[in-house]
Amino acid sequence: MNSSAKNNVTGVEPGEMEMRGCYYSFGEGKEVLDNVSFKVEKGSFTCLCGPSGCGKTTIINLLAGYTTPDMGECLIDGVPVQGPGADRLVVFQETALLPWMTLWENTIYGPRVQGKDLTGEVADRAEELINMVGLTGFEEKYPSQLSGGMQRRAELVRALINQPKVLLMDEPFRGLDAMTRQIMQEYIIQLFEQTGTTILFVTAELEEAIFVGDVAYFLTARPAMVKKELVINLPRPRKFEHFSSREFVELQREAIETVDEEAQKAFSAFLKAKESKAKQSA
Amino acid sequence: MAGSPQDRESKENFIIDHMRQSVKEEYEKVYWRRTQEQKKLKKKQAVTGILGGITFVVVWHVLSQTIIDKLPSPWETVTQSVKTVLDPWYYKSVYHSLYRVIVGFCTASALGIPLGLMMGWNRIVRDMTMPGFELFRSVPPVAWVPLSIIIFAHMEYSMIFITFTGAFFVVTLNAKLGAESIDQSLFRAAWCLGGSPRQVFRHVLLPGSLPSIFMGLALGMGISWQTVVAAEMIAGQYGLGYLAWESYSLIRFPEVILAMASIGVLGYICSAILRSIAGKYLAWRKVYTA
Repeated sequence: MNSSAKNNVTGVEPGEMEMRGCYYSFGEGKEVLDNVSFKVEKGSFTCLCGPSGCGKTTIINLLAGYTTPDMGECLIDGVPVQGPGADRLVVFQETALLPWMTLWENTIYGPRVQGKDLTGEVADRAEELINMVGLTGFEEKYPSQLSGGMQRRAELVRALINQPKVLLMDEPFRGLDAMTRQIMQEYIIQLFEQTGTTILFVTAELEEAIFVGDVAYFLTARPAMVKKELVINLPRPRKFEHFSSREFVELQREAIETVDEEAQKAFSAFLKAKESKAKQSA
Repeated sequence: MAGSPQDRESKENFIIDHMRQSVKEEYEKVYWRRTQEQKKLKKKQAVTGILGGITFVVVWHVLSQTIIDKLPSPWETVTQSVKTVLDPWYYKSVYHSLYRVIVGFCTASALGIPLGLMMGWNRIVRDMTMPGFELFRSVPPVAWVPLSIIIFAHMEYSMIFITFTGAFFVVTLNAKLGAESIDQSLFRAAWCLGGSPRQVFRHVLLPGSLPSIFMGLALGMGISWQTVVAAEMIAGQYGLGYLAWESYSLIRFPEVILAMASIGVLGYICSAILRSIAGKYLAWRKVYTA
């Protein structure tokens, strides 16, 4: 993607992000991150894959600035992260639309609390984004009147209207049914291809990562480190035909092999822990 | 009749139009039948309601003539009540009770809602106030009567104070509960998008607590009426509770029943007003349940 130019939808230059030799633990023997380093290029769609519970959400929290690493640093556009900022917005697993506001009020909530003029440019951009994710006509509905997939899309719009340099997405499609998920993947690809925002996308689904991303980093089981970087050279715009292409299948095999090893490791570690616990209690 | 393509097209169009028409008619029929059924159901409900009322009056009458001969009969009650209701003195009672409840209840809400929200929002406020609340909320409001008579020089103030305590604890604790029940992710989202503490309070904490706040207000209103009647019976001058008690002393039993009924009606009106206000502010929630 050519992303050096200022984008006309988000109206802001996308940022780049880097994690350099980060360590993090919840206490002794509870190491989560073990020397994690990776880079999210400017205007790229980067995916982060790993077995569940490996510390993906921790990485998002570190980059968002909610916590600080024990060692190492997180950089946004070369500047170390110091606390949360509006240049990096996080879309979390759970829906966080305000139930007492309509879709429109939710969408313009960011600009509203930041004290921006809500009539001219902001309204235009909100309309455009809402149209892009196919929610036109639902502006006056409350979140409870929208389906799960529509709520997730509304949340994307609410984040994007703030012109973040980077969008951090923590398993945003988790818990959606397969069909809705597919539609959401299509929407996020479309949004990315039209806005060119830098996106870091955390997911546990390999196919999803390969289908939407430019680069995928695979993490090991806890404590996490980057095990493999997979460059996804599928052409854009992405289409569902790519699912059956030779390149896709090859990438998929490579990913499955990588992850399978880690999953086995995690499983055997789990069994061992269980055994030792049983011995202790016996 | 296998005519030209134009013929076929017009024929198809005709058929499609016809189908559309018939579908529309069918829909209209169904809709008409539904509304008709609903009307019938409403009528039926009204009839059953009236029947229930008549049964109640008949049972009352029979009881008053047989087992409970002290109980005034419905007819006696109504004729006596009409006389009383036409007397301005009755309205003085209504006015006093209503005044005490409204002042006590409004003060309780004005203090209790902000305090409850702060208790749910701020750990320090909660830790500071919670032990006191745990202790005092189990004290029945009527138990405050002697103390309030001692504290306040004017009887009127002590009665207002009692209705206040009746509503205050329920309102405060429900507001706190409402604040605590809000999903943390909503706060995080509002912070993340740049909301200041004041904005988060106004846009997240307050609307999120409203369902619970209104629940507390409805309960508080009920308790306020209970306590005002008890207070008036013990210490009152004027007021419906006082009217009931005085009528008993003067052996005017129909008026006892009138006073009771008046309390019931006024309590119902207050609750209805509260409900209509709640409905206005909780529109987003109605949509949810619908």
